[in-house]
Amino acid sequence: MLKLSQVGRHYEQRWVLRRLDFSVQVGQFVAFLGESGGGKSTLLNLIAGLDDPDEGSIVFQGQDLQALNESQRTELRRTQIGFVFQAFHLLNHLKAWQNIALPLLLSGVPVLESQKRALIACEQLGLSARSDALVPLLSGGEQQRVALARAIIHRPALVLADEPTGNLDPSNAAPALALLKKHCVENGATVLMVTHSAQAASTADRVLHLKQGMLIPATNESSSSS
Amino acid sequence: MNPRLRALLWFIGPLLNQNRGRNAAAILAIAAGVALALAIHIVNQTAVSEFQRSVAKINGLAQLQIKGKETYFSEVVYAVVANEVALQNGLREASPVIELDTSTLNIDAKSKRIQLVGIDFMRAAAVTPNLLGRPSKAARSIFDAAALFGTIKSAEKTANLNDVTLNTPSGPMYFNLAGPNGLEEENRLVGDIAQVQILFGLEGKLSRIDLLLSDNASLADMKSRLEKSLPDTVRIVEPDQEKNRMSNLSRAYRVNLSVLALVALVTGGLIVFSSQAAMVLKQWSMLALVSLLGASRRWLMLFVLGQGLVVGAIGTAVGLLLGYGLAAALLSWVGTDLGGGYFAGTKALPRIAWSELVVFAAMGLAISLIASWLPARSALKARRAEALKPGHGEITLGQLPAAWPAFALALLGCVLAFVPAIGGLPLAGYAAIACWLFAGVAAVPWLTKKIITQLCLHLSQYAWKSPPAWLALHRTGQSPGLAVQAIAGVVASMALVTAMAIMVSSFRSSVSSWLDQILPAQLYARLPAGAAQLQLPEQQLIANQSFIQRSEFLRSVDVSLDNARAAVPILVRKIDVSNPNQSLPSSGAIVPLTADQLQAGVVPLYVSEAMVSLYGMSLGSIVTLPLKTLPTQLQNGISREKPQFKVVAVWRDYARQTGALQMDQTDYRRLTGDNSATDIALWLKPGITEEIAGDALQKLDLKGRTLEWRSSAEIRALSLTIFDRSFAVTYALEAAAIIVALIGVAASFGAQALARQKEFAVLTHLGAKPQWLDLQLALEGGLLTLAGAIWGTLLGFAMSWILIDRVNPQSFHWTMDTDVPWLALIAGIVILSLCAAACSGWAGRRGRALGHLQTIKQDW
Repeated sequence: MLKLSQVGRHYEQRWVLRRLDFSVQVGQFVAFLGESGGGKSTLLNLIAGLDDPDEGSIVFQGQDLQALNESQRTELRRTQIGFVFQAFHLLNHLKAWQNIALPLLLSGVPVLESQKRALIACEQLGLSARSDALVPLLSGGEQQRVALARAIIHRPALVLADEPTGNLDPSNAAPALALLKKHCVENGATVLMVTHSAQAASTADRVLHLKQGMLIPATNESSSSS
Repeated sequence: MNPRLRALLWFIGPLLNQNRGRNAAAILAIAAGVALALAIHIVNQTAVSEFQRSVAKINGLAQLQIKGKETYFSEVVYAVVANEVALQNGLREASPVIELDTSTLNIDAKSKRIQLVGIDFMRAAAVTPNLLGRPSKAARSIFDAAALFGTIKSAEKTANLNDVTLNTPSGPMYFNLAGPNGLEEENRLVGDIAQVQILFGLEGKLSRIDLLLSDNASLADMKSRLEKSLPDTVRIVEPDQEKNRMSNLSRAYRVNLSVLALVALVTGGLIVFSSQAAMVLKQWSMLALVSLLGASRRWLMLFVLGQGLVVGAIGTAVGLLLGYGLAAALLSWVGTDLGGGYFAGTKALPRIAWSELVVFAAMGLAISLIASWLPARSALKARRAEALKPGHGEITLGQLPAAWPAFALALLGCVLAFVPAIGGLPLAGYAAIACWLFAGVAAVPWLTKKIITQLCLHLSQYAWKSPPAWLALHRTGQSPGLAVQAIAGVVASMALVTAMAIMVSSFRSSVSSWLDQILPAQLYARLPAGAAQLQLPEQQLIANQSFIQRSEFLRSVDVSLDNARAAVPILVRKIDVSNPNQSLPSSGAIVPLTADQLQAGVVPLYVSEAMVSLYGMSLGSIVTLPLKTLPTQLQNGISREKPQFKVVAVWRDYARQTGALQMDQTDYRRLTGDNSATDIALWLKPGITEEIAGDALQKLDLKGRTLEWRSSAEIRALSLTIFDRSFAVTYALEAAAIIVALIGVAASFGAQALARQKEFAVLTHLGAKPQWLDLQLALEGGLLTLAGAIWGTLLGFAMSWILIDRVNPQSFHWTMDTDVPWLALIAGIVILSLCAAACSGWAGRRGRALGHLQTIKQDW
C-alpha cells in the first residue's frame, strides 16, 4: 500500500534523506528507529504529502503523491491518514470528544453520528467521564489517549505516529502502543511510527533503522508480517 | 551601564525586530491618535491666538472701553469723558469710535460687505495707533476727510484702483483709498469719525470710547467712578473681556473637537494594548523560562513595558510630526475655525509651545505604557511552574477577567452624567462618556462569553456542516479574554461613532425643522449692522408693491445684560400672544400671563433656551430689560419707567448660543414708540418667483440702504451647508477612529495567526483545506467584530443620550429631539464586520504563510 523508491530530500547542501527504498504492506505496524536529526520527521512529512522529495517517488495506494495537487493531497490526509504527535497537539479550546471528532467534522460526517462515534471512542479508551472536559484539564496520559482516538476515529488506512510515547511515562506508554497495535489489527490499518526508543519500537511488526538519512540493515528487524 | 538594563536591551532589540509587522501597526495606531489630537489642539490654539491678536490690534493700548447697551450711544457721554481728560482726573486720553457695516459698489454693480470704522485721528494716535491710516506718497494727508485707509479686494474692480465707492443712506459715495491702516486686515476701512457720522446719518452717536489711563490711576477705581458718573445706557468693559468673549463662545466647540481627537488617541492606545497582549502571548514561554531562570517579576515587567515604550516612543515621534503637518494643512486649506464658523476661517501658520508638545508626547507614551502594563500584569500573575505548559498563556490571557471594574465604571458614569457643567463646560459629561466607554470595553469578555456560549448552544449542530464556521464559533466562545484584545478598538470607535452619528443626526433634523418654523415667508432681507432702520414710509413702500401678498417688518435691537457676555438681541415680530407656539419654535410648555399680571402691565417675553441657562430666565419668571421705554401709564394711574416682562415661553434657537429674546411687535412699539424695522419677511402673490420679486425690490429707492434679498430655500440650504461644513471635521475624526480600529482587528488577527500556527498546522495535518483556515479566521474576525460593533452601537446609544441631553445643553445651551440614523448605523455595522472579516482573513493568511512547515519541523 505504500512504496518509496529512491527517495531523497535535501535542505540547502545537506541531504536529510538519501535513496530510501522500501515498501509497506496493508496492516503492517512499522517502526523507524533512529537518533534525533536522522531524518525521521522529514520522512513523515513526505509520506503525508506535506513536503516533496527532491528525488525518487512515493506511491500510496497506487497513487504517486507527487502527481497529486494540493487539494488532492489534503483530501488524502483527511480521509486516509491519521496523525499522532509527540506533543499531542490537541486544540485547547475544544472538549475531549470534540477533539476526537475533528477528522469527522472535516470529512463532513453528520454531527450526531460524529458525536456518537467520538463518545464510543471515549468509552473504549476509558475517557467517558472526561469526554466533556477541556484539554488543559486532562492529564498527559488522557491527552495522549484523546490524540490516539482522534488519529483513528475516521478509520484511516495509514496512521503516522511521531514519538507517540515520547511525552509519557512507561505506565502510560505501554497501553498507548497497545491501543495503536489493536487498531492496526482490528481495522487492517497500517501504522508507521518513528521513535528513538528501542522499547517502543519492539512493539512493531517490523523495525527499520534510519541513520543519517539512510536505511541501514539491522539485526533485529522483524518481518513477521511481511 | 547597569548589567540588568543591558540584559533588558539585549532581549528587547531582537524581539522588536522579529515582530515588525505587528509593531508597525501599533506604531501607526498610536501615531494616528497623537497626530489627530495634536493637530486639533494646534488649530484651536492658533485660532484663538489669531483672534486675540486681531482684537488686541483693534483695542490697541486701551485699558477700558465705554460701550453702549444698545448698538450706539449718545456722543454726550464723550463730552463727559473728555472733560475728565481735560481735568487730568486719572484719564490720559479718550478716543471716540463709530463702527458700522456697509458695502462697496463695484464697477459691475455688485456689492461686497465691509466694516467702516470712524475715528478721531488726533485722539486715536495715543490709544489705538493700529487704527491710524498709513498714507501713501500720493495721499495728501491723514486728515483728508474724503480719504479712507485700509485694503479691500473689491477695490481692484473699480475703474480707479485708488477709489472705493460705498453705499450710504444718501446714495453711492466715492472715497479715496489713501493707504493701508495698521490692522493688516482686508475689508476693514478706517476714516474720519465726523465724516462717517454725517454720511451714514449717525450724527451724535458713538459705538465706543477707548480709554487710556494715567500712569498712577487704578483701573478698578476708574471703572467704578465712570459707572457712577455715566448714564446707564453705557457699560464700562475691559478689553480683555472682549478678547475672552469669542474664546468662550467657541470654547465648547473646540473642547468637543479636542475630546474627539483624544478619543482617537485612546483608540490608538487600545490597539497598542491588543498588540502588546499578542506579543505577551507569543513570548509567554520565554517569559516563563526567564522567570524560572531567576529573572525577578520587576525585571519581567520592565521587559514588557520596555517593548511598549519603544513602540510608543516611535509612534509618538511620528505622531508629533504628522500632527504638526496635518495642522499646517488644515490651517492652510480649511482655516482656523475648522468649519465651525467662529473665526471667519482666517488662515494662519500653526503655533505651538514646546511645553505643549512635551505634554502630547507624554500622553502618547503614557497610553502606550498603560496598554503594555495590562497584559504584563496578567502574565506576571501566572504561576511560574505552570506557565511553561503549552497553551498556558492563551488560557491565562483568554480567561474571564474580574467583572467589578466594568460595574464600578458604569456606576461612576451614571453619577457623572448628572453633574452640572463645570466652568461652563460639560467636563463631567465627557468623563461619564469615558467611564461608560471603558466599562463597555471591560465588559467585552463577559458579553462575548455569554453571546458565543448561547450561539454555540443553539447553532453548534448547524455550524457542524461548515467546519470553518464550527471551529470559529467554538474558538471564539472559549477565549473571551482574547476577544477584548481584538475588538476593544472596534467597541470604542463604534460606540463613539454611533454616539456622534445620533447626535449629529438629531441636531441636523432639529435644525432642519427649526428652519422650517423660523422661515415661514418666501423672501427675507436684513439691513447691514449700523445702517439706519427702515421707517414706516419705507415699510409702506415695500408692503405696497403689487406682487406682495403679505409682509412682516421685524426689528432687532441689542441689549447688554451682562458686561462679561455678548449683547443679547431682542427680536421684535408679530407673535400670536394667545398661541405663541404658532409663531415660535417653542421647546416646551407655555405659562401665560395671569389676570393680575395683565392688569399690572406685565409684558410677555419669549426667551431662547440659552437665556434660561445663562441668565436664569426660567419659564414664568419676571424680569426687567435695559430698554429705552416710554413712561407707561398703568390702569391704576401709576406711571412706571421700567416695564416688567414675564417669560411665557422658551424657544429653540440654533443661531445664537449667547441667547436671544423675542417680543411681540405691538408690545415693543407701545413700550418704546419705535416703529422702525431692521428685517423684512415677504410672502409673494401666486405666480411671482423670488428672483422676479428680488430684482424688483432691489430697484426700490430705500435711501441708500442696500438690502440683500434671499429666498427662504436659499437661507435654508445655506444654513444646512454651514451645518454640514462645521461637522465635516468630526466626520473625518470618526472615520479615522474606525480605520484605526480596523488596523487593530487586522493586527490582532495577524498576531493570532502567528500565535496559533500550531493549531492551524494540526488542522492542516488532519486534512483542513487552506481556504478553510482563512475562512475560520475571517469568520472569527467578522463574528467578533459584529458582536463588538453591536455592543459598541448599544454603548453609543447610551453615550448619545449624554451628548444630546447633557453635553449640548451645557455647551451650547440648546436642546434637540433624538433622531436615530438607523440605516447608516446598520450599514456601518455590516460594512465594518465585513471589512474586519476580510482584514482577519488576509492577516491570517499572511501569518500562516510565514510558518506552516516551520511549525511542523519544530514539533516533529
